[in-house]
Amino acid sequence: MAIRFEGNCTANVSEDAKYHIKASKGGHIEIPYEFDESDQWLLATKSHPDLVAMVNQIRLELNENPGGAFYINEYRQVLVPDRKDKIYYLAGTYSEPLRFTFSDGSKAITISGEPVDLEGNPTPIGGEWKGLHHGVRYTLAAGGNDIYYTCFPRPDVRRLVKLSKEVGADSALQVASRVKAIKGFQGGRFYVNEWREMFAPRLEDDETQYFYIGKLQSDDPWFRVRQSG
Amino acid sequence: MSFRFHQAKPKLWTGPYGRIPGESTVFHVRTHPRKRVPWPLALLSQDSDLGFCWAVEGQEIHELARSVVKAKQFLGGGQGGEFLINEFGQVLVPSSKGDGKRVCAGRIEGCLRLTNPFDSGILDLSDDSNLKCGHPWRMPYVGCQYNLAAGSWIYTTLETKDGTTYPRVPRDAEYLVQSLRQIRPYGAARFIVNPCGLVLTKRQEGSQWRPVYVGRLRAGGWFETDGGCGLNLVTQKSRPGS
Repeated sequence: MAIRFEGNCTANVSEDAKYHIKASKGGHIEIPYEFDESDQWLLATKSHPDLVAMVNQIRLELNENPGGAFYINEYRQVLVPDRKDKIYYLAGTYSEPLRFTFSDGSKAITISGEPVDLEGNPTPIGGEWKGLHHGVRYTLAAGGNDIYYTCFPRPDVRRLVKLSKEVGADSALQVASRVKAIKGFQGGRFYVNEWREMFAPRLEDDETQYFYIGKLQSDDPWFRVRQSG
Repeated sequence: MSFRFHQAKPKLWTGPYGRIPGESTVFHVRTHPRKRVPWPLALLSQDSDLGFCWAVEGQEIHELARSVVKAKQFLGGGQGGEFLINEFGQVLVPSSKGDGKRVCAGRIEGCLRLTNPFDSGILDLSDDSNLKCGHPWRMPYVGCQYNLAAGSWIYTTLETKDGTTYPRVPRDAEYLVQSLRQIRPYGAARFIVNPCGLVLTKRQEGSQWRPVYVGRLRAGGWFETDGGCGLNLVTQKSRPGS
């Protein structure tokens, strides 16, 4: 039976912020990648049949067609939203890294959730994020002293889960201040991906750009891992 | 008295519109996740949870939602958004553009009933049957804002073409001042009146301000409104199920 996931169900709107399985293409995993304002690439890989099977198993249990959107969070938990009510189900954990490699005609380019540019050079903290936009959304609270996410523990109830409540205000401030360095006092959304890399959108000259915040280390104070409930 | 909604063509509203900032102090029309149509709701805070209290099913509720959407569109907006219902039952819809325009989209009569997502019960915004002044208010804190001045008179704020004015309650509202002063003994205080004429305010408990019940408006002891509407007061006898 599919296990309902009651942690951070990110509900990203942008298509480039979630992975997709295209059942019609034999189970490719796809994700759009915005190369620049006018050029969007559709990245695809066939290298993860086990992951595809995990997601499709949930679809089967939900009586839905195979494929569709899914996420992998910072604990490498695979989360599958149902298509009707957007309730999230935990498909299991998947530790194989997702990298999308293709050739631009002259060289191979690899894009993933790692902090590197298209040439493979490391992205410095504060530098423009060139990785995938897939990630689980968190919010830096206004003022920049705390981090939270919202979830729906049951229908029609939205819960605000604050980092300060889980790890204490001082510990929350440690991580929040790193996010604040990029987002500023006003706070706002940022993302953590399956590599535990943090990045955030910011408006620059009327254009949204993404910037690298840094890696969430295993000993950084953070939300506890959720299974269900 | 069961719930009724009297539709009206959207008409620009120039009367008082006391809106407390925040999403929990107003009604909303949003797409209902299961009905998949625009539907009215209010929000109810409980610790770190926010409950979506959808209006109880009914044809008149459909019409209320449709009228709010129509009013939003009349003002150049979209498929829903926030609105208020004052103590006269008038449905006041602000522009989503932030230009300060509002329209009256109709009038309700009777009690507005909402679902309680925390216990699956029904919330009746007119039900104060077990409440005394100072008791905790456990339903949505939604209504129009009024003020108690430090000098203990009640006033509202009205934007006119000549500027902002602060009309006072024109008749004797001493009963209400006394009740408010039981909770807020000195200084100025903000309070709300809900769509069924119940008066609510907040009391500080530690670092939190929590909603409390103050009392109920009395006909003749309050403002009057355009069009000669009476207060939307629901007595316990006229409430469904009594």
